[in-house]
Amino acid sequence: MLVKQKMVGLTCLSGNFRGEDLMKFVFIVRAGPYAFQHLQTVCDLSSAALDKSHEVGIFLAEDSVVAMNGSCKTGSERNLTTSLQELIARGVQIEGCGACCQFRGQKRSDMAEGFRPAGIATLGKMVANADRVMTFGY
Amino acid sequence: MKKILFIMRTAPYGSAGIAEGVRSALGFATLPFELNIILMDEAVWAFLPNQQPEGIGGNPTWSLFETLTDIDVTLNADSEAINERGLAVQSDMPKFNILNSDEISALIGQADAVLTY
Repeated sequence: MLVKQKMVGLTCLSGNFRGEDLMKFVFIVRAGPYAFQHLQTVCDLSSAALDKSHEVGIFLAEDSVVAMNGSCKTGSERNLTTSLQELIARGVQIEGCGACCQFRGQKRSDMAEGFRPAGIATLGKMVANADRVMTFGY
Repeated sequence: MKKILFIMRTAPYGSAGIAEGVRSALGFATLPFELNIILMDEAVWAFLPNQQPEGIGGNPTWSLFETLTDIDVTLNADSEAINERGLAVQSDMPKFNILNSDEISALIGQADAVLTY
């Protein structure tokens, strides 16, 4: 069961918990913010984890880095840039892959307040310090 | 030392999955991790011989894997996925450990973190 949870990645919030221990979660998002559910799920999971006093880090990779763009206009739909900024305000470390931004023509000046480009080494350090890592995408 | 496992499940061309996974593994290699990669599902098409991805602007997966072995990343592949597709390990490929499902389960179970691509 544990193996399956690690592969799927989504369900181990409750599957491998050690009682009421506080944990550091790292969520890696690969999919674009508005074509897939992944980033929205990560925002909701993060909020739920914070409510229970866990620590959360989010690494935005590949198409998900678009969510750092301050120009995203989503009309009546949920704006995930704002959702991420709310998580930053609650203490969540959010990093975005700088190379992924470059591939997509997204400059630092395009990013909304609170976001910055990071390298894969940053992701490595986040994973090194995490109790649980989950990947969301495709 | 934390054990990190990269599971690659997408075909080598048509999406950036393997390339992104390899890029991440290269970045992780600068940190004190024990790194494993396993090719599963469609990713084992990387075993097809005489690939010429340059024609579609792709990079040969061979060279990517060679780079990974140079930095002590252990390469593995799913025997069941290879057999299902009638593929064979090519002699000029970097060394892959060919694992059955029990061995793959153990590899996943031993990992401290699993990243999927």
